[in-house]
Amino acid sequence: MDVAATRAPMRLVTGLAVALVILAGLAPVLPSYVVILMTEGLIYAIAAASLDLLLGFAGLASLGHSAFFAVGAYTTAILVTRHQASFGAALAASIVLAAVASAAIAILVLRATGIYFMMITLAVSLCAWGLAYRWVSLTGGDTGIVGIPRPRVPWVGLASGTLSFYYTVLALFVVCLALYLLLIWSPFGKTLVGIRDSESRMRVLGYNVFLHKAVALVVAGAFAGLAGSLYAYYNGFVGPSAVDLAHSMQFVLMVIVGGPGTLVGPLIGAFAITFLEKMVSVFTERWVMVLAAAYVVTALWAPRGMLGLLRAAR
Amino acid sequence: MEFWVNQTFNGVSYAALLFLLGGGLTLIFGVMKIVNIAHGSFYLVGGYLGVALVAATGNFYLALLGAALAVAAGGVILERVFLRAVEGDDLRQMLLTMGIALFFQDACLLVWGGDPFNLRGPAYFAQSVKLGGFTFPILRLFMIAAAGVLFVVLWWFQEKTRAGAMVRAAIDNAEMTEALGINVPILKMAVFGLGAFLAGVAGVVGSAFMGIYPGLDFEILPYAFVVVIVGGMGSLSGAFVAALVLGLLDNFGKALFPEISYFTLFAPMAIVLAFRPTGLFGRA
Amino acid sequence: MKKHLVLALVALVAAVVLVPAAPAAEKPPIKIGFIAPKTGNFAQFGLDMLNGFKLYLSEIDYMIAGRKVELIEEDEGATPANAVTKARKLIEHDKVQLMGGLLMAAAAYAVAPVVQEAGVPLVITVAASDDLTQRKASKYLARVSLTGGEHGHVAGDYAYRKLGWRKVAVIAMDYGWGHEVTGGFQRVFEELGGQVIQKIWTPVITTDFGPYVASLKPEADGILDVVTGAASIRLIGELRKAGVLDKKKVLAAGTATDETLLTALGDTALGVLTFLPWSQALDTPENKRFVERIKQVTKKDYVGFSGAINYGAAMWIAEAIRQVGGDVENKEKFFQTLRATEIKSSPRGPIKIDKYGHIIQNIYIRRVDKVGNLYQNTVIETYPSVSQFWKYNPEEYLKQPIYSRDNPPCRHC
Repeated sequence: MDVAATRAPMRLVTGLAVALVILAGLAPVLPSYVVILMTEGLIYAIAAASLDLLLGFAGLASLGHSAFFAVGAYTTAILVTRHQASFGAALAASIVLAAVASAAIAILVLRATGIYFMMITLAVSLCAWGLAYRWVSLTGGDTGIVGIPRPRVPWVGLASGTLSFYYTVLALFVVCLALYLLLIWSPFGKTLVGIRDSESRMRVLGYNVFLHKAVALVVAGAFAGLAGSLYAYYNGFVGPSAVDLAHSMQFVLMVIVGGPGTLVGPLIGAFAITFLEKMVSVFTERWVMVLAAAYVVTALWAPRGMLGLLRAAR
Repeated sequence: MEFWVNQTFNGVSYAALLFLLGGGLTLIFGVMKIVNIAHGSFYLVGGYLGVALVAATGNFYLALLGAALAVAAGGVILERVFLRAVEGDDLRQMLLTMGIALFFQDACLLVWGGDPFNLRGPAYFAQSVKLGGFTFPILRLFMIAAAGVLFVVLWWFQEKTRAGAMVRAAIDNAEMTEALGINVPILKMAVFGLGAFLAGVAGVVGSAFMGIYPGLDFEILPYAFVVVIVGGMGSLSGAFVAALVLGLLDNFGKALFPEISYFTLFAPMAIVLAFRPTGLFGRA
Repeated sequence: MKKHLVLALVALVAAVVLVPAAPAAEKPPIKIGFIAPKTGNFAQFGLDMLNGFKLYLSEIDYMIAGRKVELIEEDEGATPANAVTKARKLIEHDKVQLMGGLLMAAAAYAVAPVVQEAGVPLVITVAASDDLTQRKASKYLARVSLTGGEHGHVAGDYAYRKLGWRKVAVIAMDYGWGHEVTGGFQRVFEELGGQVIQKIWTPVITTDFGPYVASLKPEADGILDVVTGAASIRLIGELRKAGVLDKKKVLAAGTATDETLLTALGDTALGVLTFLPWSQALDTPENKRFVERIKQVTKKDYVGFSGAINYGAAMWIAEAIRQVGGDVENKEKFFQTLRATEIKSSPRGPIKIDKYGHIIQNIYIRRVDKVGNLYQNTVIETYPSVSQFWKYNPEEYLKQPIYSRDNPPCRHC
């Protein structure tokens, strides 16, 4: 079973283009808090979509994705605050280091499959938290690293810091989205889906399953690193909470809520969860209940996530 | 000498707590193959109910039984009403149990507030036994006894009874078990209830040992996972051995090399899984 | 009857004549943003903060200098990132004139630059970490809560002079609060001639203190305990069960026996000595009145310190607003006045601010006692007007790095 994307790429591309135009056009007239949350939504969308490459396309449900996200975030924080790195340099270094970290972790975790893969990545995530917390000279320990200024990107005619940063993130989001689409439409993407559906069949067909999975992990890690870098700029600080289990879990939930294996689903999931948490909490103390209800309802009545697109029922 | 005896005893009692946490989860894991994120909530609710029941009845053992049974009943209902609807889809199960966990987290905060409680056991829980110059706190002895008794009972049930044989069969191959005419849905419900019961017991005993407060549900969840995963899903003996090894490792790690205390539980887990992807006693 | 009518007429005329003359009534409300956790592990703490803060505001009917006060509460949640997002919301969307609250030190560090950039005064009402008002002090920030080093200094002095300790073993949580209390303690204690012979750092999530308690060095005269929250119940329980509390005294950072923990601690904590800028049992008219009033709100026997210090924070903020005549729009003047504002009596005692933005306040040595059916932190000694720099010269002090795991180094371990 293939992805909807391959069947109707034109429709998908048109839909995404319309969505992007709306995202870009609406921002100047929306209240600033909404723009702030949209920025966060976009950053999480990049991260959630990268996890979807693993979870939805390669069948690797990783609970350790925040580790790579955090490598990106910490790299940016350290380079910007201690070495005055430029936006481009910090971004590039974050992507590379996150990819390197994923490659190293891949060797450790890829023998496990299914729930065991989930659990070994969970262990990785918990150890990564320990490192972020304890390696004080590098990470700043529990208080983390503060004082990361927003990148200065000269958008014509934009004074507001919030809006200008939003467009920066949006531009990078578009680039990532294009790359994601190329990736899942490529033969590599198709092979990943094949591995997800039947690892043994692909092995018999002569594919190097391990290598494919490892490459998927590295690519996803690189994108997560990019998202992490933006996250550091967004918050102006990085601390161990960027790498804790709750954060990893949040990425997974974004993918499931949106609809795994659809790429577009996780984008929706990222926005939905960000707004559910940070918007509902403005209005009620019981926002956790609202979030809980949203999860339960989605799980029970939206079997393929909010997007409701194709997904092989297991 | 005193150091080694004390630390070994501490480690074993900590292992008992880990087994209580992980024992229920491993049964649920094995039979139902679900990542039950709400397991920590069962513990939390069990603990709070225990506190309330101790206050109401004044009897620790009555509270222990009552709280655990209530949690078990809740588990059965959750399985029937919610989990059955998403059977076979591990991602949706995760989402669902996450929702349930968040619900209980907030509900407990609403009902019991956020101040920590300490579950008062019988007066002798605060005392110690002196044996050959060493001091053994009774609460820790009780934890070891509780874990030991539960392990023996569960092991006997799983290995020696007909129902236990069904559970083992369901762990190995659910479809085959169904084909043999065993009512697997009922079996799953029962196992989920049993798992929740054990989490409730752990909640009450754990609260006597370390108190209870909001957030504990997600604090202890990784510990339960560690025991299950290192031991191998569905393997009771595996969970027992894993709890013992991890409890001692964690204890001596912390006592001898406090620098690495953040990694004493989870690094072993990662290493075990890297070399034996299905845990120490797990079957692929 | 007629007299009343006349009076009423006079009042009416006066109102008609005077009200338009009071421009303050025309002004929009003063917006105060307040960030505190309402969900997650620290939810109760955050709710207590709000209870205290709002109690004072309700006592003055949310009116200061003729202007209405609008309090906008935001949930800090469990992560600092949340606090930053909410701070941005309060600044950009609600356009608050002052921001208060903040529990987690990490959140305060993260929020401070955001607030600084926007030029909005930030009054930290709980978060304790030295550098917020020391090496990373920022212009628009003031703190009316407490900090680690400040408390450690007092404890070091008390342990050496009053308890007569010469060798101390420390068991402390492995994060800022633990490091700074321990660091401050060690500096003062060792300068007086004492020795810290052991430092045990416990992870923030520690389910079992058994291994740590069993490895405490027996030759220590006493134990410094810097473990807070629910973990404190486990540690003190373990110290009691292992017999340590029967043999020697334990001096603990005050949050370890906060009133909200006393029920859960029960008899295990009896006799534990602690240090904090407040106690429910503090015997002053101002405090007794506060305790009585807050109990009507919370319906609990025990009042946590976060409620008390936030009540004081609200008093102090209101006093500053009064002194500028409600003109909070003049940011520079308002902020200068805020920092210069002094209060002679609040539930914890007098409040004033040093030039780095941190409070100068009394720190009390307390002992856990049982009076009737209730436990309390009996005040047994007062260190008046303690500066965050203790008796050191601030400039000299700030040349040294912040207290950490290894600063001061453990020379006698």
